[in-house]
Amino acid sequence: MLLPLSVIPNINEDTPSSDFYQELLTQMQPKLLGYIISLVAHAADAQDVLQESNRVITGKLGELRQADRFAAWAYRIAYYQSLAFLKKKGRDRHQFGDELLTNIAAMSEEVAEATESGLERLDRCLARLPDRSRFVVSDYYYADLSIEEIGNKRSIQPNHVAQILYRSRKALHACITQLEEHENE
Amino acid sequence: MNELEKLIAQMLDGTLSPEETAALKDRLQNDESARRVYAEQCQLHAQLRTNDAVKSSLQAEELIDQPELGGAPRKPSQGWFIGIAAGAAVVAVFAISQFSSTNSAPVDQQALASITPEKAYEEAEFSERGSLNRPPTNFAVVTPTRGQSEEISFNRDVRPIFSDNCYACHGPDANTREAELRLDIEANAFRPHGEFEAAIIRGDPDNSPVYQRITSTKKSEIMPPVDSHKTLSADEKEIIRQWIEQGAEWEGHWAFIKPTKPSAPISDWSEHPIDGFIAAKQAEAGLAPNPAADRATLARRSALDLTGLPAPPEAVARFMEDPRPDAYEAYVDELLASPAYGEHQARFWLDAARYSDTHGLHLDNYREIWPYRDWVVNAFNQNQPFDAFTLEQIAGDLLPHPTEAQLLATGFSRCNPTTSEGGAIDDEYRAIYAKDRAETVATVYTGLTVGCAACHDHKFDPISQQDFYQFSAFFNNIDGPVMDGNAYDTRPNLVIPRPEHRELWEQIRDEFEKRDDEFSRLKRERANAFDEWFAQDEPMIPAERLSPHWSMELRSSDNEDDLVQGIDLPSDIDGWGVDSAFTMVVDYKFPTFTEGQEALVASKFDGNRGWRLFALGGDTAQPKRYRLRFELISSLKDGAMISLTSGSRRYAGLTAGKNLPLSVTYDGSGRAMGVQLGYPQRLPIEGDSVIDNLNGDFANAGAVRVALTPFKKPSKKTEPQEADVAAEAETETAGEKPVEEPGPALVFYEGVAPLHVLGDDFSAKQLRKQLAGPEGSISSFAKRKLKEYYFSAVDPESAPARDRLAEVESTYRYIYDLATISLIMKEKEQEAMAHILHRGEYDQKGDEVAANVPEVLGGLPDGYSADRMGLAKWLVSDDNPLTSRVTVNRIWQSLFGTGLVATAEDFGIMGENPSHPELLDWLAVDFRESGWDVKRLIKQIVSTKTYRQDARIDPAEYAVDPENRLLARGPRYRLDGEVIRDQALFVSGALRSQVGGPPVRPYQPVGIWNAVAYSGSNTRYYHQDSEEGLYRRSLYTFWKRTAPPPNMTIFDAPPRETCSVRRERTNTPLQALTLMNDPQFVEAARLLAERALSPSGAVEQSPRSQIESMYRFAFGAEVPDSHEAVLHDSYLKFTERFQENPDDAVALVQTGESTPMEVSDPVAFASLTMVASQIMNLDSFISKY
Repeated sequence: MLLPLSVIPNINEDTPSSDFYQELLTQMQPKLLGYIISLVAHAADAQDVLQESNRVITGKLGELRQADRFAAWAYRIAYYQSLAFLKKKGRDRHQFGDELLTNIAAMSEEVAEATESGLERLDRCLARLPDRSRFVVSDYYYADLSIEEIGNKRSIQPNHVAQILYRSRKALHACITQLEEHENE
Repeated sequence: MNELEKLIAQMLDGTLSPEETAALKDRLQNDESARRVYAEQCQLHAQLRTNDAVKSSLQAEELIDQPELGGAPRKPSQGWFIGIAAGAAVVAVFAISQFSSTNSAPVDQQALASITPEKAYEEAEFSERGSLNRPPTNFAVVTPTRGQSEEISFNRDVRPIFSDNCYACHGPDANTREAELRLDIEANAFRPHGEFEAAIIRGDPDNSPVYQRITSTKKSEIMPPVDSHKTLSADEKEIIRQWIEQGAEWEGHWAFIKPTKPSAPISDWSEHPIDGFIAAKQAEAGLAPNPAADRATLARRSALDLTGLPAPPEAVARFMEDPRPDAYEAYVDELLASPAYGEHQARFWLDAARYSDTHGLHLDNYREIWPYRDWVVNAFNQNQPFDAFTLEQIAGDLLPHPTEAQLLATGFSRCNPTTSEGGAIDDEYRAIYAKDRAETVATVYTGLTVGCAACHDHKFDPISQQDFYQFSAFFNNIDGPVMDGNAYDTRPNLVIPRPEHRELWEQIRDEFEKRDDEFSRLKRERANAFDEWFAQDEPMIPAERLSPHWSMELRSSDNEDDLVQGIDLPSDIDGWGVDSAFTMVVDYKFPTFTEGQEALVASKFDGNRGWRLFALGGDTAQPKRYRLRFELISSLKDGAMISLTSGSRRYAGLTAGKNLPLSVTYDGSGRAMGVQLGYPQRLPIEGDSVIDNLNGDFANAGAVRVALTPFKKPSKKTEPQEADVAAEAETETAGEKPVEEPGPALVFYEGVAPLHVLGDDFSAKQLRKQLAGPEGSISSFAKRKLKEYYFSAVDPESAPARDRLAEVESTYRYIYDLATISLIMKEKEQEAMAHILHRGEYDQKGDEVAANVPEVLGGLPDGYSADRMGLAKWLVSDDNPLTSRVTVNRIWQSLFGTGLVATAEDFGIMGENPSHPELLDWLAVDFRESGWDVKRLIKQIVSTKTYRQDARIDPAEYAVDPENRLLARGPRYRLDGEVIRDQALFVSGALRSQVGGPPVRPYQPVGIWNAVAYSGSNTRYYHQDSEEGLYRRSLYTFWKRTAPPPNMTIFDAPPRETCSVRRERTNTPLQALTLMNDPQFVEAARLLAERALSPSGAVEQSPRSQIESMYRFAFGAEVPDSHEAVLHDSYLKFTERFQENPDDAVALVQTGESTPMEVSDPVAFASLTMVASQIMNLDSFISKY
């Protein structure tokens, strides 16, 4: 998915500034992270890979010739950083395999770009969650409680907590996408 | 949640196991909608996790709880902190980043392409995590997508694709081959096949049918075909395209190419060549080795690996204090010199040889082959070179003038399961045995699964059905019966006489065999003479040959227990004594015995001297059989006597309620060897029961007493005791009616009456009656008896030959009965041949083929004989690329848990490729060049830094190499069952270190044998040994193939039904239950506790010092404080518990056969026992690390 044309400086004009890319990259952080998680299949490891990717992207910006390719380019770098990480961990053979990784990468990029998420949107969608789901999401993502701790605190079976989290993410995704479609109309 | 959802949730929560990852992969692999769901969840997780603004919005939400700041400790690895850290890192990176201002050149697609991410990541460095020993990761770590430049390797890249997807129809198996195309043989793949053009055109994928077919989109064309349910991935197709484009270079399967010795990579870590190979692979994966293990750990590890026993504390202490630079080497040498070394190595070998103490099929009776087991132990201890070790086991009998040991060695091919089931067909089992033997040799030496080719050409490996039958022909030429006869000594066998008989045996054996052969030959040759005799109207049956010296007829009685008292013998008989040769026959009807019961049949005994004949029930293994015992006693109170008991085996016609003439002969020699028992045919003697200690005369003034035989009123109650024995006996005695007429019931003959003549005379009476019956009434069984009788008593040529045989027979059989037997191989005189069996069916014989090795391995070279000797020489020749690789791999596996080739049993195409191919080849060639020196090989490996590494596992390294295939840490895994048991015995001081001997029967729950055994089996009842037998190494435990020792199988010991070169390693709760409850282990715990108590049994020391002492015995090292605290805690808990239930304390220490120590404080004793048990249940105790 390409960046909206409106934000792309005319290539005949001055080279975009580092600030410009910095802003783009910052905005992309959640997307890149989600993209990387799907490849390395490990949320905590994905944070490391994201940092490495950020570093490489930043270091290589000078070589980027086409500003409107930035997002795709960033995904490519994140993709290979993920591969590098898996290889280093020796997981490349044991985990998903080349073919599946290629497929996941394509899907994740598509999903990430389709899930254009402003703070407001996510905010509004969170508000629509049933109370208990929102509490659990809050406990997990804000208070950093483990699933077990949440279970104890709220007297919910741990696997049910996991289920609530799963369903909440699903609902949030549906909600965001809906809003998006609505806005696009 | 469905499984996919659960897996995704777990992944995001960071709790996904490797198995679950694999499951997730399966879900995502071919399901786009699953990938979408997965990607969406990842996205949302990331958004919730990283978007600070979202977090604050969550926080701001009124309804949402405030986080409990300063409350319960947070999980440090959870995202919030990382989120902050990551954010900070991004900022930091941006702050220092430099942007080029020179990128004002026009946009250029080429240039864009040059900014490949590959280039980007190649320059990336990876942060240091995990072990600080890890070298900088300044090397390329990413699998590049296959660029044009990269060379495709046929073996590495292409063959796996072919073998997985194509060989089922285009491989070695001619029967399932389609379109006459083979893709497993180079020549075939490049030439026209059937009506088709060549499948592969080098350099031109687009015009190669193979590539066209795999990329086709038409249902009728695509390969693999739709109905095969196999698909090639895009990557795989691309590999094949590139391979063809690069010239379709063909390579043979790696294992079939002779190994050469590569030079070892240089490493700054270690000078040892093996370490060089290992270090190189580690570096590739970004791993670095662990530091060396400490000496105490190393002492235990190497002792367990080399001897299967732990190191005693003294040895550990000595090693730890040894200041010499070569202290470790000296320690290893000590271990290699210990007899326990051979026992431990033999155990692996016996798994491969499928060694067992029973036949394995049907009755699963005892089989005597333990001398072969001892030969293996000895061969390892003597460090017999592996080529000689092989030669003797495969073909020791074919060596010129083989020694006893060389013959014993061939037991390797006699360890297979055999049967003697009624109705089993010789041809069928001959084929089954040959297949088993061929498969075993193939697995052990060549790592090939040749058995697959018994019914059809091998699906994957280049082994045709013809190859298989040529190979099995080596083992299809045994000079012996196919059916084992349920006997312990199925021919061919080796007789190992008792030392005192050896000389006599040497003299008599050949003579016996010569005369036996002569008699057999005459029987064969004179078959017509019998037919002529039988065709006569009244075949002549000669008069009885023996005339009694004295005989009497006994009266009948209704009371079976009656003894005829005080028979008056003629004076000469009355005075017969130690120097008199005589024969006695007593007519006796067997009663039903209860266990342990016996009955006096006849005696002349004055209370201290005389002779006695007893009838007994069977032995403990077969209580419902019968035995006889005869005693000649000069002084009962001094134990001066001869006593012989017949073996408790199956004797035709020996059933309850039946009259039989029991016979005893004595030759006047004063020796046990001069006594024979019969019914009237000779009964084998139970060697262990013989007493040969007569030191005076047994003549006495006592009266003769004889048990009365109430032949007139056979009791209806005396049913045959065992249905199947009766049935078996029925077939043997069909047509023969029990003697119901009064006849002489007590007969004395002067001199030794040959038992066969007694038997003939006995038969003559029966046969006369048979022949007198109406014509055509003679059953086939009776005719057979008649034939036996004819050759033994009538035929003018064979009858004298039978008598000549009898002259040496009694001595021969006596020595034989007392000797140890071991099953061996013996070749028939003819050439080793086999028929190709269509679909492996024994009755569908195809072409006859001569013995040979598979074509793919070159066949037998010139100068190698087409028999087992040729095979054995070929196995260890330089022409064989497999034996040395397979062997070093197995030894490697025994030290590291996994072989360099993980599939130790399969080096074929479907086996795993070696993790370190160069190292494998290096070891294989080095081993061969060393003269196949096994101890040297083992020492070489345990001397490496690789082996000596600490086994601690760094989580990051674990993630990279969970199976430790790259060996960046020392081996750590659960010990084998035998080692666990032996170790428990060793540390408790109970282990008896005697090497070799007959199998023993330690603790085992009752009923395990019973549950699976046929009623007629002589291994139906398990009778536990006492004393010694309970505490021998597990190697010596009696192995009943249909019910192996349960406390071994529970720890994954194979059942020994087929060759096994690799054990599974499972962990189950049953194992813990065994270790905590099996009397063997409970008793061992108590004995360990006793070791820690003072010899007086007084509880003087503190529990702490006792615990320390027990731990030292168990591990050879001092107890760490953390463990000590836990153990002491347990001690207190146990004490509390036993104080409440003092009876439990007493009961606990009573476990096992050994008498517990007298201890003043039973509660302390029991508590200590429980702590000992706890120590022996520690993960570290049952693991090697």
